[in-house]
Amino acid sequence: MDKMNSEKMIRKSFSWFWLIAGLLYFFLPLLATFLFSLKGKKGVLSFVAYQHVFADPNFLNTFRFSLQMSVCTVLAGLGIIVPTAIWIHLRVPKAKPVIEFFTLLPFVIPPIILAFGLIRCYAKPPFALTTSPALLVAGYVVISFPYIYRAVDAGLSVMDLQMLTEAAQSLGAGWGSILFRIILPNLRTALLSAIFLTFATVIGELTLAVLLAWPAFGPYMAFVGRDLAYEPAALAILSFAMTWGAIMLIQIASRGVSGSRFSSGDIH
Amino acid sequence: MGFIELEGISKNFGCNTVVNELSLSVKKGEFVSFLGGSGCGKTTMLRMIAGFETPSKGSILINNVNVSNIPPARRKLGMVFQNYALFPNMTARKNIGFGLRISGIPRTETEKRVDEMLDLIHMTQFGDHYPHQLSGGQQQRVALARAIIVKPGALLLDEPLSALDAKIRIQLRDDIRAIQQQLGITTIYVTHDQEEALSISDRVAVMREGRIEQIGTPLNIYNRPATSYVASFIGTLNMFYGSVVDAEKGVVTVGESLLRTAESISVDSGKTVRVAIRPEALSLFNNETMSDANFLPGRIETIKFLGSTVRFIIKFEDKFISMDCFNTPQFKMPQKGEQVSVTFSREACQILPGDAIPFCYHE
Amino acid sequence: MPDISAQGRPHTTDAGHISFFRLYAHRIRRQARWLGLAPFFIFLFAFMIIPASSLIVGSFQDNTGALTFDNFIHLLKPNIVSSYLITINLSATTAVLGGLGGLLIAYAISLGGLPQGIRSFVSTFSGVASNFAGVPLAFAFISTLGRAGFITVLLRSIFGIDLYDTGFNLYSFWGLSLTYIYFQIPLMVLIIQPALDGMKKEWREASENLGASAFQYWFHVGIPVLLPSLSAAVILLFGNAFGAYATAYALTGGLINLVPILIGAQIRGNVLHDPNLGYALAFGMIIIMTASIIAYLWLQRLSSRWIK
Repeated sequence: MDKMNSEKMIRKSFSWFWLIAGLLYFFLPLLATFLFSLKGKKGVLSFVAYQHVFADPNFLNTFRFSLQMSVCTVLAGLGIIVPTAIWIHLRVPKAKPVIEFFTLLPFVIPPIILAFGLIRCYAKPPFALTTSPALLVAGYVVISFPYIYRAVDAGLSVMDLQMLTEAAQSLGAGWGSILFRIILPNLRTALLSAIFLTFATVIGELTLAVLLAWPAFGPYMAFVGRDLAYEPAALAILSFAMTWGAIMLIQIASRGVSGSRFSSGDIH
Repeated sequence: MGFIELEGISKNFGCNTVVNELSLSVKKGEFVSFLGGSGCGKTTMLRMIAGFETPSKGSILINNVNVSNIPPARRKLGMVFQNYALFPNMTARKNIGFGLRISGIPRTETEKRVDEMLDLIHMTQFGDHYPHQLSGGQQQRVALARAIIVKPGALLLDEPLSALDAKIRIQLRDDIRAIQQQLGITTIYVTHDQEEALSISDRVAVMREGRIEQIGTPLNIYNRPATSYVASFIGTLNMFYGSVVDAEKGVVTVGESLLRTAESISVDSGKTVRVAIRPEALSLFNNETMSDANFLPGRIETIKFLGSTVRFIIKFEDKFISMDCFNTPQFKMPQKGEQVSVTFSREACQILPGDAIPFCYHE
Repeated sequence: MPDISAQGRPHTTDAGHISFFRLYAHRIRRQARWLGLAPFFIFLFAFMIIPASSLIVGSFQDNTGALTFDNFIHLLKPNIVSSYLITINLSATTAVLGGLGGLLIAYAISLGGLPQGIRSFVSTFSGVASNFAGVPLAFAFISTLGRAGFITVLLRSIFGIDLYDTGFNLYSFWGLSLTYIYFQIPLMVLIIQPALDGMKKEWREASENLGASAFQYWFHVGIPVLLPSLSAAVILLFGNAFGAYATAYALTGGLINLVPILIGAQIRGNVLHDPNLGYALAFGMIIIMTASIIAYLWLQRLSSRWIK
């Protein structure tokens, strides 16, 4: 109609254009991969590639191994970072910028460098750790430390820890009950998102696993990719679905918790 | 014909009518305020004048030109925003000179006019500061200079002071008025602060639900509110339900007390009305009180000391009435619980139509 | 013995030595709080800082552990120089293209007036896709644009176009770039979104009100304000691509001479047989990453002054 509206229209169609172009770029490979993964049997579309994947004992073994590694990583990571983050918020807020600086370091030291350094330091006595999966887990904790720290820090920042603990102490609560009945329940969302993000990262991780020579899921996928055609496509689809699932769980967790908080607030 | 003519402006967002058939004429050089609570449509109306929103109905004329379809960039109006909206990447000087620079005014001319502006807003020494190095009040001064340097046809201000501290607010308010008078620029000012609107404007338009409830000089709006909404929105007010005894002679009852007004009442006898009395119109009974004044007997419930004035909350029958007295040396302070007689003139007793919405404003 | 620190106040006006002593006790107590961070720092030093530093130390040593600069002279070998050049080229290309794509999409969902639902969908998807790097991503592109890939076959059978005849090769520089951009764009969306959200709509309105066109607004205000955040984001993307190993490894199987691939081969001991040269390679990478993170931090500080 008039000039103003036409300008808005231009902006809107410009936006739609780039959005659709972006969606094509992102979904075309996914769609193509999915269709490709269905071509395992000649002439028909079938899930035969997926059957092959699931029937391969190595698939289950490596997946189980990576799952175990992610559980260990989550436990060790939370065990180190949650107390540290709480301590910083309560007692040494001055340390915040220091830790934030360290959260940037895994960027300067990418997994390939990390693996190299770990091997150089821990391949020979007195610290011969390369034969122990603990070193792999330690590496994973380093890689996922920025996500975990940022999630926990964000969770702690919104709840005014100082005031909550002082209120709890004035009501006679000890440190144990403060931690387990006040801080951790309020951190639930932050912890869940840290956990899922760590899972999504560790499950398919390749660099550390391959260089430290562990039979993990990432190296397995790369190995399958060398020899087979359709199974890798099936694996790609499966891991995309897993990543998507983990991110969706984070969203559901954050929505669900805040929702329940709201309704319990209503009752009081 | 006014300089700015708003003719039957409506604005709908979906099925939500924000501005409803609003008409207004603003004379050249006049300072008009839109006053109202949040959601009354005042900001939307201003944004339609500026061109950021398109009216759903009606037309806007500026200097006899229908600007409804002219984009904001060609309306030649200066706008000042609530959050200053200074360009963060430019110094105060660059911000002020922006409008001249982009219209291709020569550099020397621009610099000269920017210097004049910095002088006008008393910020000569801050020209090379970036917005993040300036206080809120200073930023808003720069924003004002940026808007008026292009010599706009009219100046539009959207709650320019609401993000500032009380003290700076009053100072900047006076400066805005002084600059406006000096330049003789037609100005429309949006605010929710009644004191601001009353102190700065030639005329105030009190808005409610997308309409102008009343428009008039500040004096008029305060002393002769046309509706109970305006009465309650502006200043503190005692408001009671009463019923008309004698419309001709101007007599109403409030509870068991009989009150007289200065003029006859335009509502039939026996009907319910509202009786409004300003706290500062009340005084304690003494020998100088006119014999034809109104009286209410009551008991002092609360005394609030406010500095230059003292506010008494007095209970009469089952109602409360506020009374403000000046804290002069001669003033004899009554005690809490004391029985007093409150008096006020016939003129102080205003009759407003009894709206269907029952509400009583009482501070 | 009474607990001195409990009653220690720094500003008592007692005799000098007592006041000094109390001040000292108070300080000690306050410093002791940092001890609570010890487990974290011990872990971080043991598994990140010391291993990385040992590479730097190793790059200055020869096989016997003596100080030498030979490793850095070896870095000037043509194949190593070319691997740095290719990696820088790849990282810069994908950072700029991915940054541009991410910017356009972020612009579309934050300022472009698209429905709210699309915005949250794109944000979620960006979270997924930026994590969808490595082996599965390489597989997805092989299945799509590889020699037997879905689209390659589709184009050949329907349109009679052979992609690989036109010079395209997934395992080449541009193929790798196309694959990297897949995780660069969503990362850009996630990084730049807050900066775009920080652009006040009043800036646009104020400039329009003063008579500026849309072009003048972007030229004088929009782009200058965004520039620090934009460059910071592109630098982050650059580093992200520079350190990426898994995608390149899975896609090319080590055919392209990228620095991470070279380092990986060095670790596995199957190409070069000089670990100290490997350390120098790693050192070079750390320097490039450090330089980019410093540039990133500096630009971030610049832009946080403007966009809050």
